[in-house]
Amino acid sequence: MRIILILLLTILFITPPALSLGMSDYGFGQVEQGQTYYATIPVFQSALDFENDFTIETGGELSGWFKVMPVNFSLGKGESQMLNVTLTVPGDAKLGDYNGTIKAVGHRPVPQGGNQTGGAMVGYTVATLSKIRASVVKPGSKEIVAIENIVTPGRVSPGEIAGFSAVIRNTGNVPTTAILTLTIQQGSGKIADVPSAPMELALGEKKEVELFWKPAAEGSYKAVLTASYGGKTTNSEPVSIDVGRSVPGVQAIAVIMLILAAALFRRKL
Amino acid sequence: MNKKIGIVMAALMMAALVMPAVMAADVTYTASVLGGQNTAITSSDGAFGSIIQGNSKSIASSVVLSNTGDATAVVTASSVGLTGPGTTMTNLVLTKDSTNYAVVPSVALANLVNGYTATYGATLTVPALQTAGSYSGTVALVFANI
Repeated sequence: MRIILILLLTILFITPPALSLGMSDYGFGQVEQGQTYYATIPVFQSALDFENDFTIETGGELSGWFKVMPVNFSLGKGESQMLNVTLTVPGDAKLGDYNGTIKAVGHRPVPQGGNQTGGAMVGYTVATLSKIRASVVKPGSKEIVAIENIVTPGRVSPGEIAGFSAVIRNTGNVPTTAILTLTIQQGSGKIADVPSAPMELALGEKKEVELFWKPAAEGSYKAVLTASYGGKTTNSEPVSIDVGRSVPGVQAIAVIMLILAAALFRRKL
Repeated sequence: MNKKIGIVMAALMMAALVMPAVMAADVTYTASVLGGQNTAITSSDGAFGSIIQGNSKSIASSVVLSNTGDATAVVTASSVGLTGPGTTMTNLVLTKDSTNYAVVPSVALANLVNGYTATYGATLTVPALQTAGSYSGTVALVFANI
């Protein structure tokens, strides 16, 4: 039963999610007049979708304040594109809440079914929209998120999913929204980025986050947890992760005990 | 002799207790998953073929939407109509559950709850004096989180 449960959970985590065209909403939280903030927002397609070319359009009150890159990109089935969003708040911006939109507009029509030819024809195109929010505050507001109580696996076997957990805490003087990202590196190269969902943190509030990474190859890796909030980041110290087959210490103890038992028996004889 | 056997058996039992604990360790898994709507067009058919002036023609299943995300999708449709040798034809309607949605210039379709599929029919009405020829157009569907 335990093996079946583990297999089911493994299938859930290693099988690509059945995502379709979508884009996450994003809240910058509290932003100060005259400051610049950065965010990344993913646009993703599933295997149900089709190869498409996209153009980014912005709208709403915030559209004049932010830039999105890249503006044009292509996505195949099951692919995703990270959008880099730069929000620059005017120095004379009025205090208050602002909204905007980022829309990824597909240019290619959906592949058609049907068997009629000629005459009148309608094609369908798709787009997805992300709602962006920001609250302009006076300078002096402090958004700070600390990363605490990091738990890492230390060592995993190839094909085994490594689980990381941490507590993030709002230590600033205003509410904030944070995303925790697990970055796996090997040498100078980045192997993977695993982001969490956005989390709202009230003053002093803490939340526990769990992130998972499935290593593809044996080796030694470094993991860093990064909390992103209000255009700022807090990084944890790097921790080492070893991926490889080994004889755990407990198995070695079992082998030693067997040897001792055999030696004792032989001595008594 | 019995004492020797007992010692050996005890050692073997301790070893046996240790090894299964290594081979069958319980691991608790949880996940942090990005939320939001994830909607795809799983099939589409916009080929009306030939339509006589002054008449309408329908496609029963013109576009099928499927939301596999974990949030309801807000869906809007917009179009400038079908262009061709004559005046742009703008009387294009999507239909679902007996509700008609005129897509020119734009309309909010029914929200699509996550885990559900929505099938829309399409009806094009050709004006009585429409110039003959081939016409084509595009309906843009936009998916957003509720």
